[in-house]
Amino acid sequence: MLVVLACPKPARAVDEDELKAAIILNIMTFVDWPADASPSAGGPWVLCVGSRSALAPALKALEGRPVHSGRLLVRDVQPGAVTPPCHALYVEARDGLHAANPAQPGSLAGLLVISDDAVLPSPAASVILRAVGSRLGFDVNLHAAREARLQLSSKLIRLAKVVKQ
Amino acid sequence: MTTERRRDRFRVSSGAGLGGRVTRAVGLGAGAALLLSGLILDTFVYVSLRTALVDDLTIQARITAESSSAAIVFKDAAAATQILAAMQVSPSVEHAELRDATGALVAQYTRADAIQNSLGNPLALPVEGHRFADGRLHLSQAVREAGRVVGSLRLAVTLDPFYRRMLTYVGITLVASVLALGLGFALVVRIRREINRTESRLDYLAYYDPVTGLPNRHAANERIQRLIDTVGRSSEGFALLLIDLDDFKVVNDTLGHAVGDELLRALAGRLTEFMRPNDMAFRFGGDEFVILAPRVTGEVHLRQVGQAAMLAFQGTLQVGTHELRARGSVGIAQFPRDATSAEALVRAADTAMYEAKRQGKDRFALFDAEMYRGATRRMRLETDLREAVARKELSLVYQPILDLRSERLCGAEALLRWAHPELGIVSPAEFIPLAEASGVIVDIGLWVLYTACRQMKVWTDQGHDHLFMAVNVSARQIMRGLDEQVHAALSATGLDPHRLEIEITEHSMVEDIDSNVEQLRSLRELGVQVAVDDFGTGLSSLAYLKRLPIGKLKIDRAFVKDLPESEDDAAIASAIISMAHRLGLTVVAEGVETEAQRDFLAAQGCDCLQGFLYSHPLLPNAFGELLAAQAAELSRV
Repeated sequence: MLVVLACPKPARAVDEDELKAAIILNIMTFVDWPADASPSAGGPWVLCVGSRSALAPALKALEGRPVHSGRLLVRDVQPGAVTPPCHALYVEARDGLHAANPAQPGSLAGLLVISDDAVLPSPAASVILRAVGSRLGFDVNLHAAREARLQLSSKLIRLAKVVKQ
Repeated sequence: MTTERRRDRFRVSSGAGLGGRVTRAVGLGAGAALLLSGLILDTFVYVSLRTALVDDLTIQARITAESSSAAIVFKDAAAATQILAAMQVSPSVEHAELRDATGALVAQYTRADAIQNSLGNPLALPVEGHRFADGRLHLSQAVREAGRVVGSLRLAVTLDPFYRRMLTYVGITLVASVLALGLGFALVVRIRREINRTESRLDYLAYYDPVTGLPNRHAANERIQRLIDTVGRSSEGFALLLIDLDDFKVVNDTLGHAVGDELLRALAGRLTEFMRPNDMAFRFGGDEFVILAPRVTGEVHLRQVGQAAMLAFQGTLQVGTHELRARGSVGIAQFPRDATSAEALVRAADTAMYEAKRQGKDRFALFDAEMYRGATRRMRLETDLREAVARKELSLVYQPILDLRSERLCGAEALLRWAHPELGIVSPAEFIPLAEASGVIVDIGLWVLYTACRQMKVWTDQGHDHLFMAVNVSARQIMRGLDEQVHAALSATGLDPHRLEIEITEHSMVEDIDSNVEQLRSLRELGVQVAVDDFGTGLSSLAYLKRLPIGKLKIDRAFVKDLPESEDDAAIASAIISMAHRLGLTVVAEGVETEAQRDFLAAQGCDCLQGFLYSHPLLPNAFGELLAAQAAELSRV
């Protein structure tokens, strides 16, 4: 399925980071978390991002936006330490945040990993962003999502460029 | 056929009849009902289809909106376009577009054949809702994700298929209506034909007599009125012939009604046979016919018409196995000479007809005003006669009867007198036939019998015991049992039966002669004398005379009047006297007015006489005085 993400008539020139950040936020709205991994009623939805990530400011700017029944909270994380209560983790190839820790699969339960590395994505990443020319799309890894006990919306899956089982 | 030709004259036109009006009313009613029901049905279909269209489109929009939320959220124009492309399967969707929450267009789809610039402004719609405009249905549906409105889907659907469908429905309704109307019309036409037939039948029944096939009294009255209206404008008159069969009742009573009807039918044929082409025959009543003869004026002409009508009664009529000879009396009246209204004209003809009957039946009579006065007087007398006995208007006078040999008074004939309070003395010759016809004669005869007996008893008691009292009785009295009446009268008055003489006519004996002879015989055994009155004017049958238990003959005054000059009368009188004597009968001559008559009768051996020569009929007192005078004379001798 061909997925093209582009604003055909942007009101203003949208920065790629802002666009990417908006996509990440929207992806979170199309994913269902298991009940034990969801925040308590009204609690924040925590999106972790590497402190060195270039996208961090753009994501920070989206803090407070509605996600499911709660609000978005963006938290910086240091490389090598992925600790709950992250609901989603955005990883880039360059930030060294390789969340994949085969030795501790249980630690990934309830964590939505969104990878920016389309070339060699982390096996734990359920959604992988990818650029197609000037357009931005994404792939989905259903295996990883199952491992993390996440439910990806069919609408999201339909928009994915590649669906990995 | 003559009767057929005449039938058409009284047929009411059927076109403007009830049938036509019913057909039109039913046609209009059915048409209006079908139109109304069609209109209601089509309106209902229109509303239903519109609602269904909106509902279907809303559901379709919701499905599309649901599946397009992610495409809007991720601003995935390609995916959105693809979702909208699914609209192609719905041929009526002309335009579809997806917009995000800010109203920015994400994707749109426009059917190739849609007229772009007439699509209208979709932004005029609220986020959710629909409206009909420019022959399209515009619908807006919000796109929601996780409870938030993330965009909207707008659709413009052409209503052409909808209208085409509506047109089909209207067409079907119209075709069905026309078919139903056609079927209904065929049915109504059939019913109408039935109604027309019934109307014609009713018409026929109203205007025609089923027995003879002739138009009936109703038709006759209409035709008379029409002729009067026509004649009123021209100078020509017309004749009305009222024909009444003589003694038709006898045919009905003796041969049965079927033969009677057959006779009427045959006679109707005869009548039309002898009519002029423009004359019309009607059956006016039971045994009455009417012929209307236009353009008849003057008495000669009227007589010709009357003679022509009488031709119908000539010869015999073959009725089944019977060969009958019909007789009729015809009364003829002419318009405008004899009457100026239909009713009066019929009455005039009726009067003339009764006059013809009075004159002896089997003839025709032309109306004249005198006749009418006579009829009116007769009717009045007949009515008043019923009360005459109770009002004591009747009285008896007594004509002396003289013994020719002794020249002495030997009896009296009781004669009836009627003093009408307004008309004065009415002649017995006038009122006796009326009393006979109406049957009042029975009561009157009884009264006469009692009164005469009572009077005779008085004179007998006064010593005049050689007299007899002659009382006339009618045929009806005899039929009612004369012997009983006489018995009763004798025992009530105490009169010696030998003092009473009953006078009968030959006519009164004709019917049921055996019973009559028996009655007379019983009277004679009692001592009552029986005389035959007016002998020589009736049958004068010697065979009858032989059978009758009588003791006396009275020669009618007709044979006495011209005695002794008339040789014929002289011969008859002497023959009667001679014959009577040989049969052992006494002979009385009536109406003796001259001495020459008396002498002739005496010479022939006549026993008694009565007449003006000796005395007029006398009141009881005068008669009593006469008796007293005679008794005194005798005692002197």
